[in-house]
Amino acid sequence: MKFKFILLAILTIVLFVEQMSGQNEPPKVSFTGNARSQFYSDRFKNNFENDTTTNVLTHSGNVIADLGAHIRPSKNTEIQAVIRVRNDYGGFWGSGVSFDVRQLYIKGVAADVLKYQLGDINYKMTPYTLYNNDQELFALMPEVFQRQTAVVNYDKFYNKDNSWRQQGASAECGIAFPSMIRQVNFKGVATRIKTSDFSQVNDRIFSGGTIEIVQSDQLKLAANHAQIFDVNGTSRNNILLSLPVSTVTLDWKNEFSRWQISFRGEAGKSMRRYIHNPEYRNRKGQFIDASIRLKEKKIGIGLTGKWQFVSADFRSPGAQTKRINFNGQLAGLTRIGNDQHTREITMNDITRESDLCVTQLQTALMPITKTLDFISPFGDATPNRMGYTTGANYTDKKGYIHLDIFNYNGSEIRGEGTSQLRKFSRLQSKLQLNIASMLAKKDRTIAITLMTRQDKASRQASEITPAVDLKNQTLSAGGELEIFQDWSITAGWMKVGSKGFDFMSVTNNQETIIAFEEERYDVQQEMWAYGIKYTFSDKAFITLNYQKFNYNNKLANNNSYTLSQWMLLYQLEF
Amino acid sequence: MLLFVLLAQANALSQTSLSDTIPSDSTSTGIFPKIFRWPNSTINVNGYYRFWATYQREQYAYPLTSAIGNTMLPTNLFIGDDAQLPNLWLNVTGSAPGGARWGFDLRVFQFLNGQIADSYGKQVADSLRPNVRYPLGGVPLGGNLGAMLGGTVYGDFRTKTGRWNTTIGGIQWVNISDLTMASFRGYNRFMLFERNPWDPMGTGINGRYKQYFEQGSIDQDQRWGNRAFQGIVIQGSELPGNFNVLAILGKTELNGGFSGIPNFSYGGKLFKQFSTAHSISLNSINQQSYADSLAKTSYGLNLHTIELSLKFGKFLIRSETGFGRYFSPQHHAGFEGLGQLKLSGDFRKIKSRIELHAFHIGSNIVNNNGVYWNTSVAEYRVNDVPAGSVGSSAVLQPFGSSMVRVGQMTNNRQGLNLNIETSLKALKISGGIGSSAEIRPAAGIITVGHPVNQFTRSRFWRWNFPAGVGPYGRYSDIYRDVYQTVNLSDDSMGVVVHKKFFNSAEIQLKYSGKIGGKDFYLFSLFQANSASRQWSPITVADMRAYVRQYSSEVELFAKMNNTIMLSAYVGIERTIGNYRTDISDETYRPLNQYGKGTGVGCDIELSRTTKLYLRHRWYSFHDRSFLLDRFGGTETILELKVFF
Repeated sequence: MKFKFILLAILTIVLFVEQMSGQNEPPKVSFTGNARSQFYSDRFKNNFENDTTTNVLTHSGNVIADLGAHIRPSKNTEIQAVIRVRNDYGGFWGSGVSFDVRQLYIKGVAADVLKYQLGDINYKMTPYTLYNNDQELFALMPEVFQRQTAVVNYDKFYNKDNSWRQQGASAECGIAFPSMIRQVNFKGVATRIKTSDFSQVNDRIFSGGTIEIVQSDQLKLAANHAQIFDVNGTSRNNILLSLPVSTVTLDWKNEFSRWQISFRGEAGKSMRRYIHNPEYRNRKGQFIDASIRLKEKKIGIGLTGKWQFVSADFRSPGAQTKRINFNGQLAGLTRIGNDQHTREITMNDITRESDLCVTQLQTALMPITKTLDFISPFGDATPNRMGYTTGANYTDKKGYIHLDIFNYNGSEIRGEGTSQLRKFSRLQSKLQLNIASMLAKKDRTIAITLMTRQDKASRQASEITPAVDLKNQTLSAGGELEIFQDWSITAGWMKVGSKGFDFMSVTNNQETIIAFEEERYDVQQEMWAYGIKYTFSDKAFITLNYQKFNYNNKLANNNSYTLSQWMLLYQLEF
Repeated sequence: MLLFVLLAQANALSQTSLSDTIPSDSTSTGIFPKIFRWPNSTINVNGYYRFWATYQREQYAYPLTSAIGNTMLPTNLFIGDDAQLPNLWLNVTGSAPGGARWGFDLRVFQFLNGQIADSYGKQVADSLRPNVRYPLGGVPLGGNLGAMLGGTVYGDFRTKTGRWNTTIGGIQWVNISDLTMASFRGYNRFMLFERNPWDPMGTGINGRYKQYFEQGSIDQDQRWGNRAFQGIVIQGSELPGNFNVLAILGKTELNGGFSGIPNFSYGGKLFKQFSTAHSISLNSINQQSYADSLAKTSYGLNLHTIELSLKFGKFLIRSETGFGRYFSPQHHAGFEGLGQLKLSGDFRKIKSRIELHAFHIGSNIVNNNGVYWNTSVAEYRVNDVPAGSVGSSAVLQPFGSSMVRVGQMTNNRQGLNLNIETSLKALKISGGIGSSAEIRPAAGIITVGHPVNQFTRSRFWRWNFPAGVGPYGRYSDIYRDVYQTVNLSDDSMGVVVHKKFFNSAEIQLKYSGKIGGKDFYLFSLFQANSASRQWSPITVADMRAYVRQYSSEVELFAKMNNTIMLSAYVGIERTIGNYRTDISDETYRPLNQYGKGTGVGCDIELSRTTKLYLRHRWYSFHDRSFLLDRFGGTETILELKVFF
């Protein structure tokens, strides 16, 4: 036994030395960044009666350069600072130029043991503790629409890894073991999400931690804790929010012959309370999430199964904060028509309106819009849901075809205003065809993607409430065709239809439902776009797109219009 | 043992922070990104530092406006340059693989006004700061830090059909053609005593003067001959059929502003080179603006020309002709013609280059992007923002029939100019004579500049560009110049009935030699201009002219050694009106103005990239008829310029 320990230590040292000698020394100071130019020409057409007020044509645009400096004062320390220079279209001699600090952090390894980062950090935990869910319909958007959204996502630090941008400190360290378990990792984070106004608003902190036991490549266990709390004494208000969420996760995977199998489970609880506020009813919530994935390696078939239970009182701001604030104010065409009524937020606005974007964790459930998603508006952590998901996917060996289908069936756990429960179903599919491979044109990109989603919500009528019957249907298609080297044409179409009847809950500031509003829906949203793109390299491209969006709300007067848009976008990383 | 393991693990964590990819394991938690790639792109920075200060002593309480008490102060020390060029200018550029490039500039002002604080700019509360999406709102940070030209991204790419490059953003400097989009270059007859803010330094202590003498021109900044533009510029070259193309879409200075209501310019050039000698191009510039949110009230211009250049041996024929129109809610005169023709040739026997220039710019042609001014059409104004401010729809140039230099054109005018360049041993002569006339009688006003004391006078009103200032409200301050408005009284019941005829003549003499083995350069410029109501082939030198103006300027630059250049300047100017112009209530006489300026200076080369310029001027001006219009004093200018 002792001999084994010594051997392992020697091996460790050898590995350590190999790593250090194999690593090239990065420069002391280096630069990086992003530059982008975007211009829009928008035309608004409507059939409103005698509209003499609404802006018909608007032009806007800007050039942005984010210049980052990476400074390595020592081998174990790195500082990054990024400044943004923005030049708005129409400003001459510097009048439209603004400067701002975009990012600043320091990170490193302390005492050769502790990895830390301080300042701006991107952090993620689990989908029930800290997770930045994609905005509605993002996964269903063809690439030609995602380009605009990608610009907004970049600006708002909505990263592809679904981490949240926070400001604070984080630290990680690990311990490796010679036998039984491979290593234990400790991760912690503390960020400030609100500062005191020295009057009635307390400092509010998000803190989280994970203890992760990696037994082997196959098995991993973790305990997670995320909490939002007000710091006592930082203002004159002694009513303090406390919102802890604790979970445990289990990840297991293995291979048997042609099959890969993986299992993931997470379970936990939450508590939302206000200390020193006896009027507030504490909310305790629980959830269980278990999923299994099977993948057949030879043919390429995959199967998934998942079961979820998220109680009605489960609250986790880190996981339930949405990217889009549906109560926000639109920057473009805020009010329309002679009566200047506010324009509803549409799927076109989601692709482009950065003013609607949320960048900080929200402690209360945010408003949703049922025309886009009424089943999982808060991602996996959507409260008051119980159900199962089954799915299948297939990718052929040559990469010609990828097909993905899943079906969700679920219901509420607690009725809203009635003992009847809403029932939900979702059928979603995606088909990707790599036509270039089929035609043996490996030097070209020719691809088509088709996606559909059908959501349904229903609830039987009761003595006092009518039946709920709401359906959303989303269809989208997109394609890319490389016509010459580096030149490609992209096109996309997307349609979302929402029809039926449902109730919208009205809550007070304690999130207690106090009323219901009847909502009838008969809304069609459709957008299509085509564009041409030149790719300088994997770091730079320029694209010119034309996009048209139709909005038709058949149940409201003066609420149907068309918005057409030319967009020029030039983006490069350096 | 455990310690070693901890060490290895922690270092493994740090080493894994060295590439930039999304982790393949979607169940990863903690800090992101998991791995980071060290960037290896390069950033280039160049620019200049420029300290500029003026110290002025004024003898008279010259009224700046008609408001009582608003007069020039006896002493004025001004640190900085109200020509709006900064103390420090940095041009930051970089590139990405594949031909994509980017750049932006930073400008820093420093006025040495004694206000010591944590930073130069205002300290602004978060709640007052402008939303980065709406930069005009709120109180901007960093008043002393900003950008001059803004940010631009560039792309170069090759296709089977040719080379293309795009420039997006701005400000960029663009030139299409003289009549569509360009700025007036003149015949390089100007004085060098007072430097332009953007002037390069030249090579050696006497580089600029030597170059001016030998080549007749000096290296100019990128803005020379071009117009400021913000937007998209696409250029294609080496296209099939030997074509080149230029296309622009965006805003010129005249479309500036942040209103979302469309207000933009577009145009371009299709150019074909037939051989090394001949070329043809089609040019176009258009402006489209709307005055209302419904986009129903529009105004703007359309202008299209054909340009030809034909070279036969030593002779060159260049012409540009076309048609254009200006439209607004108040103006619908339709299309009119415009054109210019230049015939030039080198005559070896007389060692001369002669150019004949004929032009015709229709009275309803309005295009402030071209080399000609609008002096006859009242342009539509959407707002009351003063000229020179962002978003203003007013134009910062003289309006009304202008007495202009040889070669300068305005609308509602046609004329002929003859320019000659010749040399007699060490004496180089460049001269021109011009005669032009209005096409139809226009406004009963003439605008006149003042070449002697031009820059000094423009500094009386700092930063803003007010119109109708001075003791009699007849001066208008524009960028680095002031023009005077002279009203005519020979109308008929308020209707202008007489066309105006303009004559201009100028001659520049340049001589270089050595005194005591040291190089010297002597430059002089003589101008004689008149405006009258009858045609004359030459400048009218009597009271038949509404206004006549004569000016003489002489400057000497002497190289003392490799690091010191001395300079001297003398200038005089006379401007005389006749009795059909403004008459003074005090003396009952028309304009009778005298302007004088003398100066000495030195250039000192502190290093190859650093020069110090010192100028001291004695200036004076008085109008014997309009007695309040009198100023005089001294002005000392110090400029330290460093390029890097």
